[in-house]
Amino acid sequence: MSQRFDSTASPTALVSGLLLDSRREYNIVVLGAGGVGKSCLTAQFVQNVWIESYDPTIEDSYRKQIEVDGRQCILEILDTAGTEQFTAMRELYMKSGQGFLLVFSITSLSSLNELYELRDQIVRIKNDERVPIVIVGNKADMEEDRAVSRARAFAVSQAWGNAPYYETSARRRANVDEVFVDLCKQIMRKDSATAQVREMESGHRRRERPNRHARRRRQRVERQRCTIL
Amino acid sequence: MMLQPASRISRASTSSTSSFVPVSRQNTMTSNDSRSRHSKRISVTALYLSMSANQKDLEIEDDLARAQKTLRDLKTKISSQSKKNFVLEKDVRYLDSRIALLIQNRMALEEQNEVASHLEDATNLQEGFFPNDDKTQKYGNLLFLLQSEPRHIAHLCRLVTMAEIDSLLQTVMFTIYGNQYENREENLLLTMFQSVLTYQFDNTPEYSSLLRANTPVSRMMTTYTRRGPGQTYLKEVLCAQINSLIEQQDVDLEINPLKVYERMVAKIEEDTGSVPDHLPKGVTAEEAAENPQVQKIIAPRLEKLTAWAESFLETIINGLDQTPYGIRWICKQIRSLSKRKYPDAEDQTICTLIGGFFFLRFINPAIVTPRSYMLIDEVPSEHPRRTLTLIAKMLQNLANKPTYSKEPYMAKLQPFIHKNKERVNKFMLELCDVQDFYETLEMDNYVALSKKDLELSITLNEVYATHAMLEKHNAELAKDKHSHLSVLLQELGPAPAQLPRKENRAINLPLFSKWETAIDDLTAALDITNAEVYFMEAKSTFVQIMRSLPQNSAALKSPLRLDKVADAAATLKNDAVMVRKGIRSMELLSQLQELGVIDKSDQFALLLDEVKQELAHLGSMKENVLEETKKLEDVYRTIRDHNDYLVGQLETYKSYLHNVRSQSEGKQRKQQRQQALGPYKFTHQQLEKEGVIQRSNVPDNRKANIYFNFTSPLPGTFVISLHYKGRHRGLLELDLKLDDLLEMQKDNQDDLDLEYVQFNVPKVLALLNKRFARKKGWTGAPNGGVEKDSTTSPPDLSQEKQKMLLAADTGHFSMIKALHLADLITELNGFCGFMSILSSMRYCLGKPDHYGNIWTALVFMPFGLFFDFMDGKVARWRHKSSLMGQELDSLADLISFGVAPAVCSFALGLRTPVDTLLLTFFVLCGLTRLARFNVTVAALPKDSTGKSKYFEGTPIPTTLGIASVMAYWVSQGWILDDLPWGTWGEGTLLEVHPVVGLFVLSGCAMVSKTIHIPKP
Repeated sequence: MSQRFDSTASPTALVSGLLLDSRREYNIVVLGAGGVGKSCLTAQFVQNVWIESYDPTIEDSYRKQIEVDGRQCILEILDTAGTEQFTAMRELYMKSGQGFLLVFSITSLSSLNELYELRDQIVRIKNDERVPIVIVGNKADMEEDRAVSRARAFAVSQAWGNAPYYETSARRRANVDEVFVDLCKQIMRKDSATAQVREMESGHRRRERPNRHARRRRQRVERQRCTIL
Repeated sequence: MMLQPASRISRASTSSTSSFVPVSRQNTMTSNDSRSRHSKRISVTALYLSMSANQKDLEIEDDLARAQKTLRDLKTKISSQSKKNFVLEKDVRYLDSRIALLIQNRMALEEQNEVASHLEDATNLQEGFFPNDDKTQKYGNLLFLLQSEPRHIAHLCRLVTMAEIDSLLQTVMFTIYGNQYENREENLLLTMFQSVLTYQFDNTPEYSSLLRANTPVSRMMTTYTRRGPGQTYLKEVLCAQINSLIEQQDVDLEINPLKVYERMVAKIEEDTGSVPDHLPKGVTAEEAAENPQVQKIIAPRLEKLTAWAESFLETIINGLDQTPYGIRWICKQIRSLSKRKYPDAEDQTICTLIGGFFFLRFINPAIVTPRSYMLIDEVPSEHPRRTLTLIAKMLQNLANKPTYSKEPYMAKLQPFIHKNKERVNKFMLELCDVQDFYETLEMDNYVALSKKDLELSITLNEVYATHAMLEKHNAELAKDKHSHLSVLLQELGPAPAQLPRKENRAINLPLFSKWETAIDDLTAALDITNAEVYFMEAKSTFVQIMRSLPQNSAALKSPLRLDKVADAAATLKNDAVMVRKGIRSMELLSQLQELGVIDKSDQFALLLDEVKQELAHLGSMKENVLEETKKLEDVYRTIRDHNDYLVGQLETYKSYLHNVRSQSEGKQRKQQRQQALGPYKFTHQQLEKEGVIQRSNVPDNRKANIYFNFTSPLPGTFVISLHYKGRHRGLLELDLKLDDLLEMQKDNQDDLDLEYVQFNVPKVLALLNKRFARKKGWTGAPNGGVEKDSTTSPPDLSQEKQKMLLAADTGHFSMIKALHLADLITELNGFCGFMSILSSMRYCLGKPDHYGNIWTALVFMPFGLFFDFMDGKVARWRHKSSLMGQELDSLADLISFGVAPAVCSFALGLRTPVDTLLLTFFVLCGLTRLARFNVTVAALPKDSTGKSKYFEGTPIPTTLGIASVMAYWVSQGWILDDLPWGTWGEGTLLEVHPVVGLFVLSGCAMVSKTIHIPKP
């Protein structure tokens, strides 16, 4: 059975698995409520541009190469829809993502509240309390409209296992790179930690964590296939 | 559930008036000047007819009326079903997340219990009454106020948190304004939208963030698009396109150069085993985009994508007239609100905002995730999914000013944007081009006031939750202590707590206003003259007469003359109603003439023209009604399918949870004895038909020889084995855990590989669920309210228990314990049978003219039948099917309906050797019949889809027919030597009574394979 389930894994996953050995490539997903500035943040980071227009995202992807701790890494960034009508797509993003930027706007308390559900869903899908996450309070330039106090945001950060919290301004390009670099470092740390564990366990294991399907499923196959078919 | 208010109100405003009402408010009506001038007259007509609608004799029985009634019923059904689905979806969403935790073994026992209690009794709501009359009245007042003054709910929507909004919206959208096709409620709901939207426009500082955030408003929009009309539209406009797109599973239309490059390199590597040096891995987006090979791949894809996007756009633009009125009206509000706030705004800016609603929140979500909008059944595979996303992005770019600063490669699609930009803007402005409804709404509200039997179907918990929310935000909502709302809330006192799901009831709450009394005289309340009312009455009476008169009537021949029509009706024979109408129309004609409205000299031309117009309009209306009915039937089917899916999902979760819990209980106490269930046998053909097998590599000529056995050795564990006929051992066996299946389903992994065949995971789950559910009551009515056939029930707990008790080897009379109530009743059937036999024998011993004993014998047989029926009823009532019951039933039937009638006829005189031989034949036939029944029942035991719809051969209790014939003979004294048709071959060895033929015939009928008796 285990054989079969592996064969259904998508070819791209295999390819990226191979790539991982040579070059570090990480999948980052940007999540958050509608209109908090996810796309602006991402576009600032990737292309150094400020998007003024009203242009709701459905799903955009970017790639950017950066140097972190002297190592080259490639970031695959997925900018998602904040519009609630597209929630059905989220699960797929979360499965593919390794690190998550949870963005809210400091001018809207409800946008922070929406992150709870997102974080729950990530933890559930990743089955890991310590998924690399960075909490981002965007629109820091609009201090006069602030609706979320720093203390409040820090409380959230603490509740989520001290996930780092940054206040950014996509308009002024403040703290934008830092957010992505921090997330990247988290992923790298996690990566090397699991790599060590793996080395300790045995030399031959495959990269992915042991497949649960394989573990749980036993199959008794009596192969007498020649007989009828 | 929600039928009453709908049918009552709609009888008023839709039944006979639907010819008028749509004119004033359906999508087809764009702002047309001539029509709006008519609108007053139209609403007066509607009003008039609604007033007189309670006069029964106005109802016309022609094709149109019948078609309208069907349509009305359908709309009611859609309204209530979409509410059920909304509730179910909420349950499934909740459980989705919980079950995932459970699978990962991360849920504490208490939480498991909580989830279980959520699942328990999520079954059909029972009807009930309000516990208290005084409360009924007060809540009736409150809900009337909430319904007729939408501003309160609009205000509440702004105050509640996102966490509360779902339950509020459920109550508002599906209950308070739940009749999705009823003008007044729809209009009130839209008024509420308007008020919430206005607030949002007034309180959003800058235009770029308007309608962007997820707020109660956006949630309202989502929920609104889920109502019947929105669903109909999506299905009609998008379904065909999406389906034809996802059929092309392997067509890759990716245009992101990076992805294209990666896939290209991977393909080359796969084909040649190595990557050429000029194609390094990990290139940048620019490098990838410059690669000529990549460009060559992308170019044709751009064309194809554009073609697809254009075909989508085409259907959307052509669907302008089908777009639901409410959706268009909201677009209109967005336009007028933004014009008000930004007087200088250009059309482009406004279109961006409209696109932010129409495309971003209505069309595109359905394109990107069609499955959650019920447009398709399965999740589309990777390539079509990406294509759909790209199309949605293109459509969204059309609605907004694209800058291409986000994803540079999208700039390649610029020609599409340039070409269609104008068109889309025009379309969006046309979307806004719908009439307002304020005038009709005012009228409808008066009509509502004139109704004395306005009712709302609602659940107690909905009432309490609404009350609690009002109470919570009381300070904001009812600042003025003397406002109506505030007074009502004070009277009601504190809100009661939510009831447990089990105690929740659906009630019919009579609605009435506390302040306004019902209007009796509408003409006084509205500014209408008597002349207008008479005119309307005359018009509608003539239309009714002409619809009811026989088609060949001379009065209908042209040139049409109203006085002749009235005369024809007044003199019609045998139809008092028509005569009355005829006389009334004559009166009206003369009254109107006196008032100077119409003139006899020009043949009442004014009235005549309107009547003719109306009739012409009605003629085309029947087609429209039929067409609409057809469309809505489609929608209803979709909604029901979705309901089935949701119910199935809940069932699966239930059984999974049950298994998990029973396992953890087992760990705590001593291990319970678990019986293996199954094996259940399924043929290849059967599974293929049900869609369980989605692909099969088995050659057609072998399929008949393949079968599968499903066994459940332990709860939650299943073994599926594949067998070939004639071979004892299975060819293949697969162990499955329910967890794994659920997990695969969550991962959208639909294939379960059995080497020769591929199973469909959701279908397998449904099948296992149907067959192996271990807890009593699971297979009862599912909570979606869609009736399921309960003719066959899976083996349940009680059956297993009985098996165990019977198998236990302790105690002399342990068998008694194993008997169910139903079994005892079956025994009574056997008792009657044997008593009948004994009575027959006693008759033989006594004098032939003492009929007492033979009567007793005959009377016992119907009693047997009575018990035969009762045992089944009791078993179903007690939810206990019993293995022994099946066998007992047959054995008792043999005595009561096989042996007893035969013995009785022997007593009555069929005593010659040939007679007895033929009677024996009859009894043997009965014996065979019952044995066959048991076998066939066991062979297709709990097959709920392929259930036998008929008995093969007559069932044995039909022999009671003969018994009654015999009873007649006894009553006439035609027995012994006086049997009807006498004796043949008297004195010879072959002496025989021809009436024995009855028994022979009956026997043959019982064993026949071709006689099919439909099951009652």
